[in-house]
Amino acid sequence: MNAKSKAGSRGEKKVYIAKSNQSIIKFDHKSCTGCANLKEPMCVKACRTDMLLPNPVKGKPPTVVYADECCACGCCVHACPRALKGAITMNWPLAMSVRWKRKDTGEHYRIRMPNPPPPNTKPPVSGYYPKIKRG
Amino acid sequence: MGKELIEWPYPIDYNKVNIVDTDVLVLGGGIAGSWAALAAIKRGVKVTIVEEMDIFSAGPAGVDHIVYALDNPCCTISPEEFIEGVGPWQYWDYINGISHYIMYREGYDMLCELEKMGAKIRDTEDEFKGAEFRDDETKLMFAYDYDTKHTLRVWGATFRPALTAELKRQRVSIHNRVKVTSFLTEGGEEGSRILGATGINVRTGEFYVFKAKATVLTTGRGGNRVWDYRGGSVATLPRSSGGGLVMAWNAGAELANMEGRAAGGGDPYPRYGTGNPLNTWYPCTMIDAKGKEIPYVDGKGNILTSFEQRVHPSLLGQRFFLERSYRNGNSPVKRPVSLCHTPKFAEAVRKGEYTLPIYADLPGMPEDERRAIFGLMIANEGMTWILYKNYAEAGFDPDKDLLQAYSGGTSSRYDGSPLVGTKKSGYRSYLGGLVHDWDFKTSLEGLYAAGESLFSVHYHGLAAISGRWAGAKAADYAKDTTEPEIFDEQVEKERERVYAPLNRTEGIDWKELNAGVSGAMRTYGGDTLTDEMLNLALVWLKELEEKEAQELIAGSPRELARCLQSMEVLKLAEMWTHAALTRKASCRFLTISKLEYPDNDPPEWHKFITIKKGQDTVEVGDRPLYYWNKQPYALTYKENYERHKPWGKK
Repeated sequence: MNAKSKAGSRGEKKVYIAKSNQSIIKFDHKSCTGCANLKEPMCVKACRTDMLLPNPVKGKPPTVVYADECCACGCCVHACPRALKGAITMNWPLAMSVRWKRKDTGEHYRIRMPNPPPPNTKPPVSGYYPKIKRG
Repeated sequence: MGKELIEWPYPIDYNKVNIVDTDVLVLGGGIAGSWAALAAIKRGVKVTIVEEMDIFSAGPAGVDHIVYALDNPCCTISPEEFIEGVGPWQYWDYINGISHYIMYREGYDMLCELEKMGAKIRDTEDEFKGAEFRDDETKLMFAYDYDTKHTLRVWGATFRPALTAELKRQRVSIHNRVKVTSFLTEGGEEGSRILGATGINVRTGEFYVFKAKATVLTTGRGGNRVWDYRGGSVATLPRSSGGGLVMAWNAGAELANMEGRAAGGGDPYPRYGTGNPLNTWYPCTMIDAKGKEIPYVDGKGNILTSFEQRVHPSLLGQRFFLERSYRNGNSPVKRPVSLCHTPKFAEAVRKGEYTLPIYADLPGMPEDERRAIFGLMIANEGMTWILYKNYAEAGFDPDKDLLQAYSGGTSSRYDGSPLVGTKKSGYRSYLGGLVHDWDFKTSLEGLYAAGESLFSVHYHGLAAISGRWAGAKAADYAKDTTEPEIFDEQVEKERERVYAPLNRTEGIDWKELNAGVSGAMRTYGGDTLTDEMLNLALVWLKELEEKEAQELIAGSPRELARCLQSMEVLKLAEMWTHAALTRKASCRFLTISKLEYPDNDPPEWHKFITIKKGQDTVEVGDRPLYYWNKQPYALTYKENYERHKPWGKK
């Protein structure tokens, strides 16, 4: 059991959750706005295992809890309006860090490697966020 | 390392009971649920949708290709020709013929409706102009079979947002973060009419009573956790608990195919994120570690000499290819397959003809194909948008790089000995679901089902198509039926059950119970099954239910929801075991291999096994395959479709 209860000041039960130290989901404190003007940050809304909690301080990044339950679906990153500015990143799980090889040089790489090659900046076909256009 | 404690940010109230009245209640806000709600509300009834997470990202967040939309204007094969071409064979015999046939008739119609909501189903920006798999007039793009054009490549990442926006626009009442826990029935009796459901909010712990004239169950079938040998949680989603099916079981519904399972269950490698020329990656070229090309072979094992042969059945003298028929020995319409996915490859490697490991040669593919596979499909498949982003940021470049494949050497999901990479990480419950008729009405009055709550395979298109149909039928039923009268005792009993883990000060957490179930299934529900071992599994599961499940503890609404899920996983394992015991035969399609009954799918067992909860027992039964085209239904797909379709001209 991760959650701990204790009596609050007015006698109602308060619940406390352990903040995760694991870094599967990382927030950039400069570019993340905690979706300041929204009822709930987009990543918190999108999370399919409910492992992100909104920050009690408006405008600050959400907190990662229950990190071991992250299913690496990436919905949080996809939902973030500032993901391409690096507000939120998902550290690809090590167990899923596949390898590849450059065809002409034979050099080996993997996700999360030390001294990685330069990023491939080509966006997907129609971009990362194809528009929804109502017909 | 010490951990900082933070306060739970949501107001908790375990005593609050919310009563929600609706005409049609849709359980599950994924693809099937969203379509069901939209179809129902169009018929002028009040619709409520309940989702354990948030409909914003519920169900798959995307899709990269839609199979068998035979009604698209470019498709050259009719549903009847398609069915005749497939013929009876094991895979097809156990699939859900009702939802498949509706897909053949309405798949494209469904996509066009989605397009009106804002989704992108065609290459409107001319990014693939002139590509062989694109029709320049309609701008539709195709996969697998460029002759008959039955499968469409789509911008599926736009589908979920379009559906979400439409649900709001149509004013469907949405309850996010509510996990449903049980069905409410007439008089609280098992087997009687469904009058709605109960649920808890996974953030506030509040209780919900949903009263409904008709209910559509669309929740996932679950099972990822059941046999996960690693005990880890990568790729474990809320849908994995199969809670909806357990609720239906507890209410006395009839289920079929529950013994079905598949190897896997949270593979440590990302789905579609390694270079396997299976579905999304078809027809990618594969090469070995020394750069030698691994050829594709046709259905008879002949080596294909050109790329064109992989996508044109006519070049092989075939009428059409299916999506993945190579997996099944007796398919009459086999699709070509890379040699690396046949048992022959292992032999060739042992002889030194190929060197491990093997790679997907995207740089060696025609440019349009490479962009279609990685730039379009990987970036639009539900699990792989993040994969595109993370791979690209890590420097992977499909124009230059060979992506390693981790399952080369397996011939299919039945073959447990890959040459490279992973062994099976477990099994997952797969293919089981509710028995239903042509209206998607289940064996219980007032309960309809769609998507993964139905028996057999249900991917994106089938979820959409069955949801749309079931939603319309449920709305029609709701208009014609009486107000539900809730049996208060049933609600009170459920509240007591649901909140029990909060009232214990000592006990075990949900992960421990999950690990226990996994342990039992790993031991007695492994690769080879015997009746004695399956009976022991039942004994073990019963013990877990009576002892450990009664010791679960939770400290927050979220942990409470997880406790309830772990009890569902336990029950799902029990349901699987009952069904597996009943089938006294092996069946490759259902991934059942029995020591005492080694014959694969003998004629006397070539049928659906059904199970339902009886008084202190399990009632087992069977249904003939293709029961949907036998009495009391009409005898052909076409006639049944025309007779039951909920709309006029489609």
